[in-house]
Amino acid sequence: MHERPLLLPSAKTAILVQPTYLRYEWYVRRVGFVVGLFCVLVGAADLSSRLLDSGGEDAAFLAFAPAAALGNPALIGSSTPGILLPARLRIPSLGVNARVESVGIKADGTMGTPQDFKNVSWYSLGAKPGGEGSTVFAGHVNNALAQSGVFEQLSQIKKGDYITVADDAGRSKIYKVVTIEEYAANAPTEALFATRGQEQLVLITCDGEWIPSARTFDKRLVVIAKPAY
Amino acid sequence: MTSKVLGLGALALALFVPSFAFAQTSTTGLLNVYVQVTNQSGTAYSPNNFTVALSGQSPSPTSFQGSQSGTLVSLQPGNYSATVTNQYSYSPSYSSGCTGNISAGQTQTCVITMAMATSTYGWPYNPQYPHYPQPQPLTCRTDTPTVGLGQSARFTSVGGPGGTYNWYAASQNFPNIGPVLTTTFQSSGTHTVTVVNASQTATCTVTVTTSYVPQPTPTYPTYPTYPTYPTYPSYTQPTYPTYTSYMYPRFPNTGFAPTTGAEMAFAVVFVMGASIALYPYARKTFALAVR
Repeated sequence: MHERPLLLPSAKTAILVQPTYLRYEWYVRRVGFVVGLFCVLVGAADLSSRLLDSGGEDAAFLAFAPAAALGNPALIGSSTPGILLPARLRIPSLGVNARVESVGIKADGTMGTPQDFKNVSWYSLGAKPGGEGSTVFAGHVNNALAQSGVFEQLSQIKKGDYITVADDAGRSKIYKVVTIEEYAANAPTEALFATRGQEQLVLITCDGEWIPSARTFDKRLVVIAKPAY
Repeated sequence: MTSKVLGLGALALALFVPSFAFAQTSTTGLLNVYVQVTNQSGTAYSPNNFTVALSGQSPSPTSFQGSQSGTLVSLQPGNYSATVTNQYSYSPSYSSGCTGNISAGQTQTCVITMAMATSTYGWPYNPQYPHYPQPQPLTCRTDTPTVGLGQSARFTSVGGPGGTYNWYAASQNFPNIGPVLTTTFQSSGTHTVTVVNASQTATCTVTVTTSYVPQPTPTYPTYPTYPTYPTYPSYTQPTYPTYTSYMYPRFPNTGFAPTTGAEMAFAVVFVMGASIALYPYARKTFALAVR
């Protein structure tokens, strides 16, 4: 339509030549289409992954349940007696429903961290849910691509919120948040990793300011919860 | 000068006093008189209510109040006799040492036991029940008939109506020490030991020599073998796992370097530019692939 033939008097054939501005328009349209498609795909992937990771099988419940129901662990489950090996960690008030990875101690002496930034790590050399001492979980606050970690919103948790730990068999323990504190990154941890004494749940994530030289944050957010039911 | 005289005087005393003592003990005999009262009631008499009179060769003292801890009387060699002069309603019994002959340097023991006089009627009423089994008479056995100076001598008393055994030796008494007496003697010769059980008295003698006398291994009556108690398993402290080497981990590093807005904008621009630059090649590649 927009093309017009450029004919020479002696030419026996005609060559169609597009105007330069039309070629740019064509490229821009296609680039825009590609970028838009890319954004749609990335957004859809991000949305689906968030729903799967945070909600899991409870995604529908978390999406449509009244807010009050999130604070009632009886609607999610109830504590079962005995000691269990944690497989999932749920914080209904934050929309966290994460898989649990068993970890130990890294070579630098720190507790292991989950391979997947959407999972939480459980210190398997310490206490177990339902037993004596502190059951310790850690989760990333972000990842290298600036995506949200499983505990990005952990600072929003409130005293009285419920945390549920479940095993693969469906047994669960319900805890209630009693303490939210910040520790220095190099603070002693004996009390938090105690294997004796009263049962408690400890959640740890990074907080504070990033220290480039140490490649870590200067604080740790520690949430302590006690058995609720 | 004065001190020299005093020193010589003290030396003389030290030399002559033992001589006098030796002379004293070598010419007289000693009698230890013990008085005890049995069957005492609430208003009964005590040993010092009784008077003991000594007859013999110049006894000193000749008469004295009885004492359970003993009264030492010196006598010239010869016959002697100790008697209680006021018996009230008590009946005295005398040990063998209360009458006899004493020689110079000898020591005898006299035990006088004052017991309530038995009566068929009247007061105090002290009936006898013949059907009661009568206890064995008190006897005294010398387990070590001959011992040396400082060696232990052993005496055993058997029988007697009571449960209290009071032992009396020449230089010491041993009240209520049971049926066996083990003691030593510091002078040679024949020594008499008296045991008193209630109203009965028995006497043992032992010869003390100046040399050591080996004693045969005493054969004491074997006591019944009591059943051994079962051995209970000893309580073993349960071994708890030791946590001494337990190493607490430090806080985990759960964060990555936060991304700034400029970094994000640069990344977006970079990705878009790369996409634009590579799009023709990607399109050609796709076209070739699907052709």
